[in-house]
Amino acid sequence: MDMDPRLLAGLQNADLKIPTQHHNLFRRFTMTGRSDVNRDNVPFIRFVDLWWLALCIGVQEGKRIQPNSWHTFVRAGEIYSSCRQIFLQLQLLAMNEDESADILADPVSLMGMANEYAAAGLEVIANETLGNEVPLLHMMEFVESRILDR
Amino acid sequence: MKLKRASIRNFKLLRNIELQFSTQKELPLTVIRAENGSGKTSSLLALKWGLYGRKKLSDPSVRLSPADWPDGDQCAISVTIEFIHTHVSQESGSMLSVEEEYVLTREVNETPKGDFPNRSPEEVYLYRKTTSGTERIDEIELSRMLPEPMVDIFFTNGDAAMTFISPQLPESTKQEKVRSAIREMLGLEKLEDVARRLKSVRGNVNREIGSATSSEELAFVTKELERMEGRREELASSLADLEAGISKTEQDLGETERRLHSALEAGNYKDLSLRKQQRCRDMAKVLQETEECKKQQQALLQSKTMAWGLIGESLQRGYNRLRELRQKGVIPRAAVPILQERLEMRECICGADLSPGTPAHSQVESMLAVQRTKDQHVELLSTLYFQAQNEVQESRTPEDGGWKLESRKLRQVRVSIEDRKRGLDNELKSIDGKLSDIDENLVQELIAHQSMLRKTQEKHRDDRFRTSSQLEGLGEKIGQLEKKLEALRRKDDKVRKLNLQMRALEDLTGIVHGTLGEMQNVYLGRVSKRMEAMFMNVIGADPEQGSIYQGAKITSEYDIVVESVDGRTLSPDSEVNGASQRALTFAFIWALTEVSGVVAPRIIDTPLGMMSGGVKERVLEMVSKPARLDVDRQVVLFLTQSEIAQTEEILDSRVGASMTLTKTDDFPTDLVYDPRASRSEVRVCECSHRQCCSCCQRHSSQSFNLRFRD
Amino acid sequence: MATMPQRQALEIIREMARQTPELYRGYRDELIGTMVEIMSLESVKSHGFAKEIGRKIEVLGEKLEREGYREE
Repeated sequence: MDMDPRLLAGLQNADLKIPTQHHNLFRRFTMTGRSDVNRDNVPFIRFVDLWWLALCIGVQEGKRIQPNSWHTFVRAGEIYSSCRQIFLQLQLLAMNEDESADILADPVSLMGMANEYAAAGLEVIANETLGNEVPLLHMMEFVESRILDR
Repeated sequence: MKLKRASIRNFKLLRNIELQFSTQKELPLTVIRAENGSGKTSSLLALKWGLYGRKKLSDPSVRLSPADWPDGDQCAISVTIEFIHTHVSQESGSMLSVEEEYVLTREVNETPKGDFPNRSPEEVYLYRKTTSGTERIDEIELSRMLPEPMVDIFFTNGDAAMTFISPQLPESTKQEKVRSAIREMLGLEKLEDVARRLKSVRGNVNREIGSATSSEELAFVTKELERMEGRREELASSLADLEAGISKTEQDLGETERRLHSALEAGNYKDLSLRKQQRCRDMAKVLQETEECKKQQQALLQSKTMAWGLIGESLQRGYNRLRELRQKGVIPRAAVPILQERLEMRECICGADLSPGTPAHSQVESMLAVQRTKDQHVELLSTLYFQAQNEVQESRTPEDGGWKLESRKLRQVRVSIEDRKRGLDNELKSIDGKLSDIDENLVQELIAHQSMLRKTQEKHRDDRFRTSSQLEGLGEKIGQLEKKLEALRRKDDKVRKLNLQMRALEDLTGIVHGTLGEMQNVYLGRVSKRMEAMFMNVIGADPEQGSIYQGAKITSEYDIVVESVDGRTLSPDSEVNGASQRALTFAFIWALTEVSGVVAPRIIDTPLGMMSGGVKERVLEMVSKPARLDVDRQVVLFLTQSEIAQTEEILDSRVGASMTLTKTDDFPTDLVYDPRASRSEVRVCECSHRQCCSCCQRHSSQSFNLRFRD
Repeated sequence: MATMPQRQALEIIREMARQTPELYRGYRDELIGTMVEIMSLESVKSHGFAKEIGRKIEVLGEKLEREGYREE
């Protein structure tokens, strides 16, 4: 079953963004636009994967940030079909945030919330990348350490 | 010959030293104490050179002058040796001994340039002391007093003595060395000379008979015999050459095989290459697996289980809200999906036809529009609810055990792959190392050389067999011809006188050959027995107590062997330990010189190396105590303090003269007192094995309990 | 330098000579004497020694003839 068509339509105009200062982080740790790279040095395949992890960390931290400058890296509608579970989980998150769930009818606001969580999570992730560890292995360990036992 | 005194000038670091030797019968030992590098070997060489000249140095081109002698400056090197020699002459069938004193000086000049000695011809002066002064004599007399072949018997260092049992030499060479040593020491050469001379005289007489006889047959047989003897000599000479060739080939083959073994120790090139290929394939596989694992790890970082692990509670709460709405009946607006579905199916639940164009279709459509218009938001929530149901269900019971478990599994896989990769890396490095050690060209060369040598060896052996057979056949023919000749000779009166000479010659030849055979057997046996007694005593082996070594002997093929408890003979070069090997070699040399009765100085450099206390004592006993009262000897030992340790008491009772050599360079590292030397040199003092003085005291002297001598 | 075996060589020579037939009285002693002389000549190897040795053999032959020895 697919997303509500109105929401889907609205996502065409909604952007996934990151704080400009973390753009390099994305270029370093994702495989986007690169070939023949050692996967140990690039934990994430796509920008959206890092963005999504950052969002999860931001939600864990309970923080949302509005940076001075944003960098838009993709339209939500463009990646919907390859990231269905992200948008599903995002909607559930929105349900948790807003009892009325009005945000669900406003894709731009929905993405706005998402971007702010991601911005907050990126602060934490950026700190984690300061050491000499192998990025992929370190990121796996980092995520493991943040996963809560349910 | 016994040495009395030696003065050495500018021979290596022996710039100006004098050595005094004991000539006392009761105290035959002279001990020259010197630590390593303090002139022991130089002193031995100086004495050797003094007596024999450069031809007896192992490397005649090596410099003799001190190493720090300025290039371009002439250096006068000399060794003067005073010695006593006992002449034995034969008078009317009896032996007479006379002792005479001599002074020998050998001088040479070197004008060194780097390592090149630039040496002038040697000058030798030999004088005999007489009652009225000195008389110069021909230096050729020296070779009669101390024949050159005996040099290696009488001038020995501990390691060089091992040549009689060295594993480096082929059997035939070792046997020849032993045989040669015995022949030289026993003076068999003289008898062999006589045998050859008599044979030559026989040949002459035979020729005379051939010319003088009137019998054509006798003349023919004589000529034929001469021809055959000539042929026999040729064959004997060929055989000797073949034996030498076989021995040389054996030696070369041994050397080649040793080199080949060494070259192949790193491994066989082909096998290693194959192994390398296999390991490279394994490595490619491992790298592929690593890549696969990394991809899986990246996939895990984009999996939906990751979000459920990180923010599952928030997601659950969100879903719970949806469920509440459902429970309240706010969602789902099932009508919309149901109506939608029925329209698509073109049939109502009640079975009515909902195909487009039908009234029911239009009715349902307008109901849908109404519902949609009424609550888009609720619809959104309903859609979300249905979408989320499966998602939430799956998150509760993850098939793969959850993200953490999956991550740990992948990490373990990575570790295991890394271990395998490391192992393969190490193995590849090792293989590469071995491959680089293998000089495949050299290996092929050596294999080809080995093959060639084996073929040569086979050919030589075939030739030897053929030549031996020919010799044997010829020997038989000669024997028959000689019988015929003798019979013809006797019949021919014209050559009667010559026949009588021939008779005398035959009798003389019989005596010589009989004597040679008897001496060889008798003295080989004596040397063998004496060697055995000395060896067993030195190593402290008692056959009756069941010791491993039961005896030692020289076989009739001139092999030195050791007999073991189970009746086997052991090869000394591989089945006997190092200390016993040395003891055996010394026992052989000592037995030889004792049995021969040759009075000559026996000079040994570091004989007691590798030996323990008990063995050292027994070796010293052996070398310093005469076997019989009528056997005179002089023994000069160069010993380090460590060799002397635990033998002091024996030395106390046997040493007739002692001195110590000290190198000035050893200050301050080893020497206590500053020698105040303007240049590096070796000095001599009169300290015995129990003493030290300001010239020779070392920091280690205290640990050997040496008494300081003012 | 004469060795002990060389001194004892003389003993063995005498022993070997004893095993040789005494072709005339004193023949063995003559053989021993000639042998010792030949050994001396070989040791010294002075000028013309080979001829000297040949002469000694001739002397032995002449002695045999004088003593009336006849080969069977």
